[in-house]
Formats: sequence, C-alpha cells, structure tokens
Amino acid sequence: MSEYRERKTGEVKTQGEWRAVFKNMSLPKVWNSNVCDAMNIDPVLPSPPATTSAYQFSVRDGVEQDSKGNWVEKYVAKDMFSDIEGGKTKSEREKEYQATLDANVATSHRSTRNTLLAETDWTAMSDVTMADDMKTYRQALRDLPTHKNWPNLEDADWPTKP
Amino acid sequence: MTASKIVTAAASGAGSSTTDVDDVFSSHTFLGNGSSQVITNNVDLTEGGMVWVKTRSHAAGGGIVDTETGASKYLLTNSTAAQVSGNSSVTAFNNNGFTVGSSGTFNESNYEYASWTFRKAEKFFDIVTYTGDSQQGRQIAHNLGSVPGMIWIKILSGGTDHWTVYHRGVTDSDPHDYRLRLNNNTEKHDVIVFNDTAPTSTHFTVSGYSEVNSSGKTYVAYIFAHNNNDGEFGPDSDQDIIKCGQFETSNNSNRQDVDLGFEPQFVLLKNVTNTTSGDWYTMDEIRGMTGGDGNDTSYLAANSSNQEYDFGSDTFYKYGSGFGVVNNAFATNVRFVYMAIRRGPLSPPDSVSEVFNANAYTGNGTANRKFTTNFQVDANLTRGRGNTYAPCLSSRLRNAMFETNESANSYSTLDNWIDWAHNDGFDYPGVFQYNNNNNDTYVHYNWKRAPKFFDVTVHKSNGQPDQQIPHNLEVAPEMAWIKAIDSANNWFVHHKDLTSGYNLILNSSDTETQSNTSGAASFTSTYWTPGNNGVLSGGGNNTYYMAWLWTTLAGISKVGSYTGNGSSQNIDCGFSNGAQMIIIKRYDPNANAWAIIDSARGIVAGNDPVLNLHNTSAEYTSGDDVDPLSSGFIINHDTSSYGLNSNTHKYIFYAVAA
Repeated sequence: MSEYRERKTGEVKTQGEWRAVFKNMSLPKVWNSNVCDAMNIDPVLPSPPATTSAYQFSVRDGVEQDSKGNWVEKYVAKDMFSDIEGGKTKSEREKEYQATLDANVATSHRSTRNTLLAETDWTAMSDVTMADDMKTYRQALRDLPTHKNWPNLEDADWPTKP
Repeated sequence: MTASKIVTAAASGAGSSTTDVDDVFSSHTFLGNGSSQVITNNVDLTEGGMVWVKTRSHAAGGGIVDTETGASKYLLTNSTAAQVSGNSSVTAFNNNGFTVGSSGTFNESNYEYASWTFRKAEKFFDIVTYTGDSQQGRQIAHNLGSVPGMIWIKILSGGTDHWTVYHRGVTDSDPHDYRLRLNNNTEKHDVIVFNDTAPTSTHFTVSGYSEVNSSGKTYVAYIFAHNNNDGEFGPDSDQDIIKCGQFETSNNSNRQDVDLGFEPQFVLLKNVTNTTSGDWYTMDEIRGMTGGDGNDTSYLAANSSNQEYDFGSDTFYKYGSGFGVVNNAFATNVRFVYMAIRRGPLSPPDSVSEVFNANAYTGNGTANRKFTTNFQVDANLTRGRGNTYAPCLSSRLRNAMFETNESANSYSTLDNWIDWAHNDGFDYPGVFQYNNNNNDTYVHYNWKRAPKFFDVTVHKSNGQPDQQIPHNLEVAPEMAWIKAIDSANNWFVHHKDLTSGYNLILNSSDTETQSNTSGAASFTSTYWTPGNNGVLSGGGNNTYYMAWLWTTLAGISKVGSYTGNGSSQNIDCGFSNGAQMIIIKRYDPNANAWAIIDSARGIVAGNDPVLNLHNTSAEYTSGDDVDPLSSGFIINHDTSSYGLNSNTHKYIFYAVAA
C-alpha cells in the first residue's frame, strides 16, 4: 500500500488517506515529484523485512531515511520470546517452539509418506506378488522416521519409487 | 462498488457506474467449518441473487438459495424435493457475498466446497417466483431485459417434482417445444411445459403441467441471459459476459473449438441428445479449467451428488476465445448445450496490489502451505535464493511447472506444484526443494491476469506460421515468454525494444538472436502468431505452447529499455512509490545474465540481492546495482556490481510498481 510522509510533521498516510485530506484537489493516478511537492509530502519507498534469526520476526516500525535521503519503510527484528518471570526462560520457550515446528514438519512428512504407501498398496494384495524393489521402497518409506535427517529431510532422502 | 466501477464512473464523467462480470458472478471455493462463516466474493447480494453451493470433496447434492425465496432455505439441484426450510444453509445475503450456516450441504466441517454466485442484473440473470394456477399459456413476467437463454423452474412447495429447464440451443428451431431436467441426465423431451411458446424479453410462458404451473403450488424460476453482441458490461458498457449456445460432436478425435468471443471462467455443459455423458458438467477456473489438452480440468455435476473429478487430457479445454471438446471424448454425434460466463475482470487494475505480489519467505517443510495475496493468482514464479535452486514458472491454465533455466520440460505434467483452487492466493501442496524446504529461503512473484497488465495463453499448434492465438491483454504484448509444453525447445522471449526480428532465450545468457529470416513472430492487441520460427511452431501440429504476456500499464508496470552509462542513472517507469520487482537483461553483443531484483529482498541504498532466471546460481549480494527511486529505480555501476549498467551496452527490462 503506497505511503507518503508529510515533510513538516512527519505524518505518514496512505495515498487514499492523503486523497481524503486533499479532497478539493484534483489528483492524478500517478503521483510524481510535482504532485508530491504540491502536497508537501515525500513517497515512502518499500524496504525488505529486517534480517531475523530463527526465533525472531520482522515488524514494521515507521519510516526512516536511507543513506541517499529517501524516506523508506523501517523494519526491525524482534525476539519472539522473552523470559517469563517465575516461569520458563527465553531459551526454554525457543526450544518448545522449535519442537512444535519439527512436529509440524514430521506430521507433514508422515502424511506424504502414507500417501506414497497407499499408492502402492495394491502391490501388497494377496493375489499380487510384490517385487523385491517394491518391498525395499515400501520399507524405506516406513523407515523414514528413523532417518538421520528426520524430520528435516532433503529431497534425496526420500526413496525412489521403482 | 468495486474499484474498477468507481474509476470507470469517474472516467466517463457520467456519474453512473458500469458493471463488470466480477460484480455479478463469482466462483468461490471454501473449506467448511461446521458452524458459520462469511464468504466474501465482492458480489453485492443486497441487489438480489442466487447462491449455488456444492461440496467438492464428498458425495452430496448441491444446494441453491436465493434472495427471492429467502435465506435459510434451499433446493437440491439433484433432487425433486421441495424447498427445505428452517435449515441453516445460506443464512445471510451480504453486500460483498454471503454467510453459510452449519448445514452439511453448505458447510460441513473440513469438507471442501465450490460456490457460484449469480447477482440479479439486466442481461445477465433474474429470479422470479409465482404461484401456479394450472392455466395453459400462463405468462410469467421477468426483468431480464433480454430474451432468456436458459430458464430453470422448480417447485418450491405443495409437492415434489423435477427441475424443468428451457435452453435456447436444444434444437435449431422451436427450442421452447422441449424441456430438460436439471436433476437428472436425461435428454431433451418434446413436452408442452413451456406451452410451445418462445420466451420474450419481458416474460416466459408455461403450460398447466404440474412441474411448472400446478394450481396453488409455488415455483421459482432462475433466468439466465444470452448476450449476442448486446451485452452491456465492462468499462464501455458494450461487452458480452454470458452465452447460452450449442454445438454438435462428430465421431472422431478432432478438437472442436466453441468460439464464445471471450474466455470463459464458468461453463455448464449438457448432452441433450441422449444420456451418454448426459450429466450437467460444471466447470470453473478457480477449481481448474485448463488450456492446451485440458488436463486437470475439474468438474462437478449439477444432477449428481458425486464429488469432484478431473477430466483426463484431450477431453475439455478452454482457450482465449472460448472452450472446446474432443469430439469423441464425451459422446459422438450428439448435441451439447452450454452456458458460459466470461472471465473477469473486464477493466484494467487500479492498483498494483490487485494484481501483483512479491514475497520473500523461509521454507518450513510442511505440505499445503498457503500464501495469501488477496487476489486470484494466475501465474507464479518461485525461486530459491541458495545454490542449485531453479526458477520455476507456472500458471493456473495448466497444472505444471517450467524451469526458466532449462529448455527441458521435466515437470510439464506436475500436478502438485501449486494448488490454484483459492480465490485469495495459493498453496504449495507438496514439499519440494524448489519451493518449501525447511529453513531454505525463497522468493516468489504472483500475477493476476488483467486487461492491459498481464495475460497467459495455452494453445495447440497447427504447425502454421500464421496461426492466430487469441489473448485478452487488449493491447499488444510488449514482452512475451513462450515455451513448448511437450518438447524440449528453448524459451522464446519477445520484447518490444529488441532489434526487429530478434528474440532472447530465457534459459540462456546469450545476446539477442535473429528469430528467423522470413516472417517473425508477431503480437497484436487480440492475438499473437508464431511466424516461421522453429522454436514456436517447429514442433508442428499437435505441440502445445504456453505464453506469458506483459505490457506497460501507467503507474503499475513498465516494459522498457535503457543504454548503460557506466555510472548511475534514473530509470523513470512512471511509478509513484518505486519499483517492487525488476527483471533486466543485456541484449547487445556480449552475453549477460537475466537478473531479477525485488523490494521483498531489497531495493535499497546499499547492496541489493540479485537472482538469475537463466541458471540456478545462488543470490549475488556483493553489489549495489539498484537504488530506490519513486518514479522507478536507479541503476548503478561499479567494480563490484552485477553489470546491469555497463557503459554503452543496451538493456531491456520489465518492472512492477511498489
């Protein structure tokens, strides 16, 4: 959403909000420097989110000027967790969070594995003789939870269907 | 009022609004929650209308609720039953959609649903209710403002009876002598339910038959228009959006295009000659209505409780100006009737957030990861930021993925790369190294097809250089990427600022090359042609191609070029708040990379991460190649930069505004 900063007050509004402020002014669709000068505002240019660690997230924190003098979106990294007085520490909460993430990945992989097994269930029917390579493939699927990379599997960690 | 309506009204200066197809019709998918949920599809049902809901994932009949008979009641499309009342079906009609209650037909927990919303509008759709009097020749007034193309009539109370359907295409003459039944697969029957009297722009006529006019019983009629160059939709109020027509199949495997004059988003199809493939097939582009060989087009049937299935390839497909069938795929030597509704929007976008989104993210290794864009995504380009991650381009028009760094088409039938069946984004159903490996970093770009901004086509080549492939960009594409689906040809890139008769290859850093010596590919405002070019028609007859088409839209996108100056220069794209994404390629002698830069990863006053489209190299982060500029971007050059502004060299670019 396009934002603009008022040069004197520093107030930041979206283009729609500034249109409401200057409701008696005929404004074009594209706001070039002449339009901005007429309203005494500067465009706020996009910035990437802040660089974060595994247990941080990026939050918008107003605007700032870059080294070239442009007004740009400001993002800062914030910790997801902190110590709870009389309770769990930041580190403990991060470990819990990571365990939840790993569990989600494991659940997803189990679902994919079960689908892959179901696709070859017909080979295990009593009137079908299962080929050895199919036995190996299905066993490898069943063994995935014991893989050294589990649950963070690479593509190459998945067995290839014969 | 939608943004497109507001702008159109302002542009016309008339103080009145125009109507877009998106204002009067919506295909919308949702996941049931077993209680109450609001479905926002931006169709104003306070104007009156009908909502048809059918589960996709389970076997259950579809339910219809309308504003004339009231909320919390419904009819089943596959049943003779009277209207069910006192039930929590659609519980409210809103100015931007509707609310479903807890009824299993409409909102069972964890069931997947399709919904189709028809708003009352002249020359599109109307609803009337009446009480029967058993009088032959009874005239029922309506406000469609044109002669109906199709009418569904259903008894509401006082007994049970079939759905009775009039369709203007069941025969060439006197179609009003016949009726169809929506709730079963039977062929047309010569019965005097419509009193053998043609409907008019003000009324339709019924006999005294109980299914349409029994004394004391109440009925509802859903009336659909047929626009025949008399539609009043779109920015100039002159576009058709609904067609009710017919075609006949032959006993061969040829493809038969049904030219609607527009690309459909919804098609209802019925064999009226016999019961072979006699279902009321219901397709829409949200669930999947694909081009080319039509593989993965999904269908439900109005007359059936069956869950959703996919047609196989070479059965049903759509293209830029209509849809088509393979003659012997359904039933041979029979007549089909159809109702088709045009794909929207009909107006160009007013803001970039309606049609484009760039997003950087970290993979989490989980399946079915959803990304919300708040618009219908029609094309996606996903690129891992580390080494060995291919740039992956895909489109709603085909369940496939194409690596832009490869001539090979290794994933041209991959059906779980992206699940497009969302109105507000998409999900990655599987976990691929290229899209969602745990803890790996990615960026993706999402486009919505819209007039004068972006379009996609899929077609089957006839091997002829002058084959015209219709598109809906409404202006000549200024940049096009074209790829053979089923042969390992190089990507072909057209750009308006290349030397005439020359093209680039997306999967190569090569400079521009001469396309051919006798007849270049050409691009007009309504179609493109391959010309005498081995890459574009060399596969000859039966080769399928996809094309992604872009153009300049003031303030939103820019297709342009510049000559490098070896230092720094402003590239004015006519934007207000800078660029969100930029693709740059040097095209004069000396090969150089296809570079892609975006504000999601950083277009900043320092170093900017650069990815490639022609290889799988890791992101380059050591140069300050671009700087932010409100009207576009600043392109730089120094010893550590990526070579995007080398002195005297020529570059083409495509940029999207922030």
